[in-house]
Amino acid sequence: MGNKKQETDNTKPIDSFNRTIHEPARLLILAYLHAVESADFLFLMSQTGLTKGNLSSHLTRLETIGYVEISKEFVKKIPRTLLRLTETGRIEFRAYRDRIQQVLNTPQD
Amino acid sequence: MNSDLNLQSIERKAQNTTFIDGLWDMYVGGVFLSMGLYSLLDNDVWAGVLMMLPLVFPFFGKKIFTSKRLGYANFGEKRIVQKRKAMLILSVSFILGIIASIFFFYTGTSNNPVVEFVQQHFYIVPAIVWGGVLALTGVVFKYNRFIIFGVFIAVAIILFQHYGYPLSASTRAAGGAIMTMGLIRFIGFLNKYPPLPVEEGV
Repeated sequence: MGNKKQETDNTKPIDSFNRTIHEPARLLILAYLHAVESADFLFLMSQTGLTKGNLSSHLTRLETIGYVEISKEFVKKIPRTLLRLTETGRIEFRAYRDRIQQVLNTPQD
Repeated sequence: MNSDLNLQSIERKAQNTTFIDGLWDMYVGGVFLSMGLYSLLDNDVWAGVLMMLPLVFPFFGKKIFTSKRLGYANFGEKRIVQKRKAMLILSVSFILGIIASIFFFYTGTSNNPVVEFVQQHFYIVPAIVWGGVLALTGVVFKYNRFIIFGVFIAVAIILFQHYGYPLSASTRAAGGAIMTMGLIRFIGFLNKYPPLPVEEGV
């Protein structure tokens, strides 16, 4: 019983992480989108090394929860999928980054 | 998938995609190479064309090779600020270069040992101005290769002049070397990043 309570106390700071962002591939996508104003699908594919299908599914998830805005445009008749972080996505990403820094900077006994 | 999740390095990597293809290296090398070749040409029209030729690398090379391999990214306000700083550095150094030329060339003989030294070794001015511009541009864009190129140009000018070669010979040699380094980087880039499919996901 005491051990279980201690375990809960120990994992409490980590439990407060945003699980959507915490997933490595999504974190990578958000980190790249945070570094730019906007980017197209190919840019993210080349930089993250994710496959087309994998990247698509993660982006769809991020779009559904409102972190990423996806728009389509044509540049000289070639389709381009433009991606950008929404204001919510930017705020949540920064909050996640601050939280993880805070947890890792906590002095150990 | 890349395992590196260091956020700062990701930001830096994303910013550096502009230079990853080596085309800007080739441009810088091309500018100095054409400055060196300029003096060898009698025809002013061809000399003018030669000076403009390096622009082909970033402007057409990006469209033909890079965008198909890396995709498109807009770096927003940060990049605009960097470009403005780079333009400011170029403008200020251009003005300083002219002022230095007027001051050291037309002040006649001077008793000041510094002025006298610069008058006797005037090549120090282009070495500092050109090398400085490149190095500062590298600092602004956080692109270390430009800093190295800046030092390289300055050292090349000073060494060549010291051993009695003309200024054009030093810019030819340094420009050629930088262009070769850019070309090697460009070939490496083409091998590392194959063209991506046009059809997109999501």
